[in-house]
Amino acid sequence: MAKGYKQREGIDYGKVFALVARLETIRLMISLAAQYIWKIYQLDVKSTFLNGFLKEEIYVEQPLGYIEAENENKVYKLKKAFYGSKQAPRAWNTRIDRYFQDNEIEKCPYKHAIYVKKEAYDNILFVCLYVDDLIFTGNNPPMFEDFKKSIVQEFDDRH
Amino acid sequence: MTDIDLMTYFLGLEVTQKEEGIFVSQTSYAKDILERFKMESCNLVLTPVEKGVELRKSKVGNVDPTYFKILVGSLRYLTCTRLDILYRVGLINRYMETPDQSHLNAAKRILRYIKGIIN
Repeated sequence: MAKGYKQREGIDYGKVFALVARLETIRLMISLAAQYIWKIYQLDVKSTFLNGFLKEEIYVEQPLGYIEAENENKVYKLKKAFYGSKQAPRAWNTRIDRYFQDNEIEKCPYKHAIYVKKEAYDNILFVCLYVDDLIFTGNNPPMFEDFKKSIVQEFDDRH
Repeated sequence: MTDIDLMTYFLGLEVTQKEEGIFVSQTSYAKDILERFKMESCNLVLTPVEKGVELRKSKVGNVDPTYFKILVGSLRYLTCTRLDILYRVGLINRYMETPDQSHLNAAKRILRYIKGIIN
C-alpha cells in the first residue's frame, strides 16, 4: 500500500521491532484471574496502525489519479504511520506505551506487554497487550470502567 | 476501539468464564491443524508416543523440512493448552533439519492423538 518494500534502513526507518505478549504470559494472566475469581475483559483497536505517529521523515508520491495540477512534482510528508510501512507496528506500540505511561499504568518490569495500575486500598488492574488486542483483569470493577472510558476516548476510531 | 466485553477468544485460545472457573481450549485451532495436514478423518490413537520406537537422526531426510517445521510449529502452539503432547513435540523438534518418514510418522501420531482428545 505505501510501497514499504522501497524503504531503506537507516534512512526511512530505524528500529522496526515491536514487543508482543508471549502466549505463556497470557496463560499466566488467565490463571491469575482464575485463582482470584476475577473476570477478564477484552478490547480491540480498529485501524490500529493509523494511530502511530512517525519518528522519521517520510515522503510519499501523490497517488495516481489524485495528482494536483500545476503541483505535479510535489510530494506529501507523512504524519502518521501507514499500513505497509516498515515502522507501523513499532510506531503503534510506542504510541500505546506512551498512553499507558501518561495514565499511570506502569509497565511490568519482569514481563513485557504487561501493564499494571495500582490504586489505593490495594486495588489493581492488569493489562496485557498483543499488538491491537488487549485483555485486562483485576480486583476492582470501577477501575475497568475508568480504564475502558479513558482508552476508548484516546483511541477513537474516527480519524 | 471496540469493547468486546468478556474475553472469549484471544489468539486462538477459546476462553469460557464461569462461576466455577475459567475454561481454556484450542478446539478450533486443533481442527484447523488436522484439516491443514489432511488428517480430519484419520484413525485415533490413545497415546501420543508409540511404545518402543526410537527416533534417530537421518543423514538424508526425504521429507520436506519446511513442511515438517510447519507441522512442529503448529503442534507447539497447541502445547499451550495441551501439555500432554509437550513431551512428544519436544522429541520430534530435534529432527527438523533433515526429517525422514519415521519422524513424519511420529508427528502424524500426535495428530491422531489430538483427533481423539479434540472434544
